[in-house]
Amino acid sequence: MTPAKTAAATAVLLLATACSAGGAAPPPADTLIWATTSAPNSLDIAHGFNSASTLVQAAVLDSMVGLDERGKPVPRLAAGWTQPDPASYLFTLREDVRFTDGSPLTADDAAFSLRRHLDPAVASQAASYFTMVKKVEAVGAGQVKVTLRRPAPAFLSVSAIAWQVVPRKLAEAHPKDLGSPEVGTLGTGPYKVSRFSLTSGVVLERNEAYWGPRPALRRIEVKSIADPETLRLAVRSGEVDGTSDLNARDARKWTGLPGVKTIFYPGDNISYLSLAVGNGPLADVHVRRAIAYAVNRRAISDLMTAGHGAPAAALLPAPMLTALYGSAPPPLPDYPYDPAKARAELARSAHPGGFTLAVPYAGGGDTGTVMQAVAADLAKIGITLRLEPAPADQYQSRMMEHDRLGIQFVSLAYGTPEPIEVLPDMISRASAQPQGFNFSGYGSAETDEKLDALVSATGEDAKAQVTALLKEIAEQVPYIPLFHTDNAVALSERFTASLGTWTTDMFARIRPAGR
Amino acid sequence: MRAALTAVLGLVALAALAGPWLAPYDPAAQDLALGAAGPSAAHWLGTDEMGRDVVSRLLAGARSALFWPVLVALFTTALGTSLGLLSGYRRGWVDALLMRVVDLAIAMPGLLVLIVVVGVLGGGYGWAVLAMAVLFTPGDIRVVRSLTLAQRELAYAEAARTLGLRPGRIMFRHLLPNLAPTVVANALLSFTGALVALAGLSFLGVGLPAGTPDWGLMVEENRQLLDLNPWASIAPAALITVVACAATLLGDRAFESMSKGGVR
Amino acid sequence: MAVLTLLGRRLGAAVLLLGVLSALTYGLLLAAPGGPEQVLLGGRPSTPETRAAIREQYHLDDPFPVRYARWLGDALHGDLGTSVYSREPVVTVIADRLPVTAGLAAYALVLTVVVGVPAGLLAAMRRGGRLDQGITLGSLAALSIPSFALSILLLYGFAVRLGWFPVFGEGRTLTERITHLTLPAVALAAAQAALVVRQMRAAALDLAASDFLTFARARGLPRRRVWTSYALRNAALPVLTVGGLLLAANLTGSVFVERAFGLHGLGALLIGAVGQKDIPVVQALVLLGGVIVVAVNLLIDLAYLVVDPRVRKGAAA
Repeated sequence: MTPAKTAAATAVLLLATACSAGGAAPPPADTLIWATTSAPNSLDIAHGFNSASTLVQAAVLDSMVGLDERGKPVPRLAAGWTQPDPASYLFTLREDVRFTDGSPLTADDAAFSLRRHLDPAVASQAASYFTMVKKVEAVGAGQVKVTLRRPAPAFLSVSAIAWQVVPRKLAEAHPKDLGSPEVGTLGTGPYKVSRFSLTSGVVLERNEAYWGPRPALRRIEVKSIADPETLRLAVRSGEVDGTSDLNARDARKWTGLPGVKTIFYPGDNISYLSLAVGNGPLADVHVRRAIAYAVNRRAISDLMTAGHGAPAAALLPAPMLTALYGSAPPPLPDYPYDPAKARAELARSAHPGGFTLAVPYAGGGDTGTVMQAVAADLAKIGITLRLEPAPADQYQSRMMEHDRLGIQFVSLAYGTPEPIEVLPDMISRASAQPQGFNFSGYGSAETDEKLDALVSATGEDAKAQVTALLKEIAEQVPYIPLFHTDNAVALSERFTASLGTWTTDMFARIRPAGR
Repeated sequence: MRAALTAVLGLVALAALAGPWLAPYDPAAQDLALGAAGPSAAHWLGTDEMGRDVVSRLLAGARSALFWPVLVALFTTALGTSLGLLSGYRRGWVDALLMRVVDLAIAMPGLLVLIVVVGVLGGGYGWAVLAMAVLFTPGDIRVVRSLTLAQRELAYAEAARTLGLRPGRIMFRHLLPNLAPTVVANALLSFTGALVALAGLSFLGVGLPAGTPDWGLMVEENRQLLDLNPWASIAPAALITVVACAATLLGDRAFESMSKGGVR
Repeated sequence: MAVLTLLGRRLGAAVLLLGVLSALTYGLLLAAPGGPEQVLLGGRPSTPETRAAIREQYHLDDPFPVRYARWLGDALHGDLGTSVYSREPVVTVIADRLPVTAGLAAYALVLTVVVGVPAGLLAAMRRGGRLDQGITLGSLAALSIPSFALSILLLYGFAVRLGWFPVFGEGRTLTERITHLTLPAVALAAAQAALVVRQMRAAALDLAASDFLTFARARGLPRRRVWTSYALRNAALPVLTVGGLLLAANLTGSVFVERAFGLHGLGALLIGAVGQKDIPVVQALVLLGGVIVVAVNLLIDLAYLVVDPRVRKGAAA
């Protein structure tokens, strides 16, 4: 054969194998292929507190407490609990629950699973959730007693997210690498891990001995596709059945895909501008108010959420506001878009003619788009933002180091309906340190006291205190709330799902269509 | 053929210089209501997701698409040629030292180093361009040095030395013109390499900031629109390819004709 | 003896190269803003105690020379450390991904040689003809299109529109692996095959003008025989060199292709690790890249010794 013929023959051969493999039989109806943009890095929330990892954790591990569709704590591994006094909880463990290796679940396992988050040697990413916990002990057969430093009603909600129960023996042997691909994990949840690798992904099989309702899916494969566009093409071609890693903003590119439906529901998140109040022109409250008037929140919200979201009225995620106030939020100082008022407010400041501010920002992604829109809005009242683009991870690092803070665009997502999960991040002085989330630097001994009181407050009292803090933030404008965005899921029409804001066990809510 | 090549590069250069005035629309003007639309009488190559005119962005993008590679080519050629001449002409310890460094640099996994440098330093496109120029230089040094070694033994160089001319003068006035074909070919090669490689950086998200009109970035940003308006992504990719082709061919031709002509 | 001297000298150079590379990368990563803290804290609110514990565990407060020396000491003992991101040993992390990239690189190299060498020879044989022009122009285009743009077009055309190939991933069985890697290998091989075509064509044309080929033709040997048994063998050396360098480039340079096709190879790992400041992983990858380049260069030199009697004699003398 001539070289050319050999080449041609090889090409034909390759195409032939390709075509025959391309027409493989479709997977069984109860197998779900899911994709995420980043691979789950740990099946332990202490070291994998991120969306891809917690998605898998929630399928494999049970938490002591769950959240119902309104965000209220409900029994899960704990059959119930009592409060001997406001600062302590006595959980009664569900009986006859076994880990997927057959060993029985004990109160000691449950207690250790919480206590380990307080151990500095574990360096748990969930540690800040449990700072109010003083002591955790197994009491008698099947009871766990948790003593708090002082009353903290949010304890139950954060437990629903982070108090995942693992066998003490396993967790104790692997304080640093529990949940890694090498060590793996063991749970009592609806699924068990049959394979976990950062490259080839995670394979979950139904736990036939699960104590709760039988999961509808028999097998779940979680793959990671780093490039969002390749991910979309994989869903479009049917190689992937679903993903939750799409932006509401990109909805238009997903809604038209054949055989794929998109599901939107309110997300527990808030996107806002942070104004560093420490020095420079931003230290002047009139400047901050001027900026609040000048930014067209409605336009930014429309741009960033494509209709799957809304402008934010207060500095809390919308579902938190709903959980707290129902449909009647309290009136707060508001800054509707109004360049004239913005100019008037600026005229009352020390910089009536405007000023120029150098603003580092991430050149790509959402931050890039929002900051360009904000810069365009502010230019109209004489404030010039000199945007200095940087790569996203580098910008993020600098911001977390609190290096050169000025005007930042921040987007945060939370897991519980408790405002106490959010407010200390925003205005406590502790969070104003590097690695903290108080990028405005706003806060004083007085605000710290108010936050402190809020930790233990309940009922109408808590409501009034949150209102007071939101009012203070709205008056002083260390932050400008911008928008809330919906969570989005793309799912093959071969499946149905019932998802809500407080859903943690997403895989348990997906079932084959028509069953 | 040569005329065609020169015409292609000339047109692109014109776009780079006068693009903003030639563009039918403001390349940054958005029309969110229009969104990504296919070609029409108003927009010859359609619009991108933000409703920006693709033709205008291509014209405006020519500048950044060409400027940086030209910068890389100039830097690489200037440094590579001078150090290559120095090394080949002076020989001795200068040569030995330079060659060790060049060997080391050539043995580096180039792309790997580039990604680490750019990913870590970030802080702007300038670093990426500089890193790329530095990575391209050792190859040039080596080529120019080996030619210089051969040239310095030729009669005219001997004669110049006998006349007592200063080494600098001999190197740049007498040897350099004879190396011209190689130098020109090298420069065009660096240009092509940089054009293609810099476009790739946009794809990895370490290139120019989003929204900048730039061919590489347009390919990357608009690839999600292949269903809606394929031209938004294919046209800039095609332009990069055509310019790179033209530059390579021109380099080949320049090398052939100049080495035949024998400038000496 | 010649081989031993060569090996000795190369080993020295390799150690120097790896030393410089590792120190440079380590320094760069430390100089960059942010550290592994963000990854370890998961970008979440954290307590001061946790932050202090992490700084202590990862020796983040030690000066650069101390940290580098510690890393170097461990590395010399064969311990490349643990990934900050996945908490797996770095060796495992890399071993997991090596087969994907190695398969891709080998596949691309095969395509390059199988397509590039014959095409280059053909072009030279038919110099100036239609075929030559076609091949030359095709190789020029393949050389000039950015590999990520080619990946995007291949992905969209053959995987999405025509549905002939899968969109992403690497597959598990051998057949699956081959189908999954076909488009990425084509995207990776295009520019390289073009280089080989140009190289092959030029080398063959040089040879065509040489005396021994003129003589072979004068003896009346058939044209095909002249080209395959004379020209091909003599053009083998430069092609061998290029082929080796391409393999090395493939192993480190499949970044774009891996990202576009959702492959979990070394290139994708590097991008991720650089972003996460996962120093042990980046270090190991850069060293691996250096080792591959050194090893390939050495192999090429050894191959020269085998293929070319002149080099063999010269080295012995």
